[in-house]
Amino acid sequence: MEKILKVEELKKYYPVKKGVFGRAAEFIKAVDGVSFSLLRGQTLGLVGESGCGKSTLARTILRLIDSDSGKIIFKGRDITALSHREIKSTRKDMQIIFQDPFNSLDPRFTVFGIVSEGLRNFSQKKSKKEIYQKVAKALEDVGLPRELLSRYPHEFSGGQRQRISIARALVLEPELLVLDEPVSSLDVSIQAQVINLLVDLQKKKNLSYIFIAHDLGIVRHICDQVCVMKDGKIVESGKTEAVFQSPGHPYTRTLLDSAPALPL
Amino acid sequence: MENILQVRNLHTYFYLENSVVKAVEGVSFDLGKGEVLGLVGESGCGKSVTAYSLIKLIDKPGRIKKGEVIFKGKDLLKINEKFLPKIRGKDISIIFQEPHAALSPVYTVGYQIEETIRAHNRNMGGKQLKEKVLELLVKVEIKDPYAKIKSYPHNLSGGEAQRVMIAQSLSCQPQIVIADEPTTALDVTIQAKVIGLFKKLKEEENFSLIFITHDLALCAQLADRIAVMYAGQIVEIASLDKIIKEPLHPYTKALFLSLPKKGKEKTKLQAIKGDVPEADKKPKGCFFYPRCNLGKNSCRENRPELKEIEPGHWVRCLVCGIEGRR
Repeated sequence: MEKILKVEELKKYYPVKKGVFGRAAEFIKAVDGVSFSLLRGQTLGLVGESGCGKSTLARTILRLIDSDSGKIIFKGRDITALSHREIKSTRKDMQIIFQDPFNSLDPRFTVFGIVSEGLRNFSQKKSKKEIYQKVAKALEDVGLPRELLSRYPHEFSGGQRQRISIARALVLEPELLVLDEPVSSLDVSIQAQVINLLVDLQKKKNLSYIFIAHDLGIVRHICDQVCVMKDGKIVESGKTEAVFQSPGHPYTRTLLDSAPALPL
Repeated sequence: MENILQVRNLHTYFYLENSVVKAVEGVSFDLGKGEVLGLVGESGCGKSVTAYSLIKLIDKPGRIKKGEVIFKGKDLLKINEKFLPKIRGKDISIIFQEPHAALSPVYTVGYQIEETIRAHNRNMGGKQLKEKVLELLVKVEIKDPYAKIKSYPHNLSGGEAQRVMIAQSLSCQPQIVIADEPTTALDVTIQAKVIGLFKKLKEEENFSLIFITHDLALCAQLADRIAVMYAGQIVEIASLDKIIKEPLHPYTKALFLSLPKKGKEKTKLQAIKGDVPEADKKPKGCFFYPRCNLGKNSCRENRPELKEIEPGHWVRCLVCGIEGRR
């Protein structure tokens, strides 16, 4: 199978203290030499506690944050060195879904405005009708009727809002989706709906996912591979079942033991 | 078991400009001495409002419409307002979800714990107070308790701040502790430690605990009995064992079914259809009816009552009964 994404020795340090002559003296190593690869159509889980660098890593891969060193090879092409103009054509192929759908949707945009914004940005030549059709199709894909296009985000529940943000990402027909804790702010009874939707979409469109989460149960359910992160480094990675069945690193074991399980 | 707290038919409404949000609609339960009752439900189902209503911490536009909260033979909702501060923090204390938001940033940790003790023990001397604070910090197993007395909340990590909150809540030997999602803001490894601490403290102090959470699995670590809430009502209440192994209410059952299971990876999860009803647009009949897969026509019109189906097992449902289990 084709490798859609390969990350090599990626680093992102944030300076926190200035020394003499204004040079950075101390760093927070948010991402510290991370390497992994992701096959097309598969899901890679990134787990770790808050502050371990999962989100920074995801944003660095999308080049929302510039890395300090290392390589990001997306579809066979190193995108770390691309200029902002050059990266624009790649952006369309990699999209992100944020954790909190209450903060990530602009309250002054209608659903149509939110979902069509990307289209208008990336393909100016499309006619209004084409854009409308694509948006309606994306909405249908996530299970929302097109009558809702003129509504505003505040009229929706958390689950519906997350569907809108999925539609916003899908409308550009991306190949890689970064899911940054997509269900952790949703109600328990809604989480399963959204997880099912994501799994369905992956099968239908052959999408590749990077799934960031702290709920290990869900990670185990949908991920093909997992990487366990701690302090900016990947301490363990491998096939999901292998990591869950026989964790090698002591930190992975602590993490698995800490997760509450039902005594069924 | 002797009951220390009896809650009967509690209703708490919020009167907004153009609607009435019925956050809690008829919650009843008993809390035994030394018992841990888990209050489980989704966000917005009224678990926190229930907890705050118990000690009348409801602010305008909210109002406790009716109900009884009987503690030591007295109805807390009827007694004179001026006696409540004597009960809050002493007999019944509360631990909030976000420790950093609940602690004041401008006072030291030691001062804030002292404050509670002083409020209830007017004639305790300064030296005695200091000793008591230190003793409490040792009890909650905080690292380096001497230094922590003089530090400010922003110097503490989330787990440490929550330990300070716990110390504060235990400072006057309460009989009931209400913990409102005490670990939700924490990482899993820290969460496991805090849960361990709760277990230990419960043994030592023998208080009754109302543990509020949205996480069933977490609740199962600690609770003796579990009350499941949905849309402002308790839909099922039973011992931990019963709830987990033989749940009766369709909502409780569906919640368990929707969780990912070992050995069934990559399969479809059994999601619950639909959405939680908005607090001001609840269905006419059973609140769960639009999402229920057992619902009959009668459920659409009639609101079920909480019924005791077998000893200690209460369910609010018109359809399911003991025979529905098999």
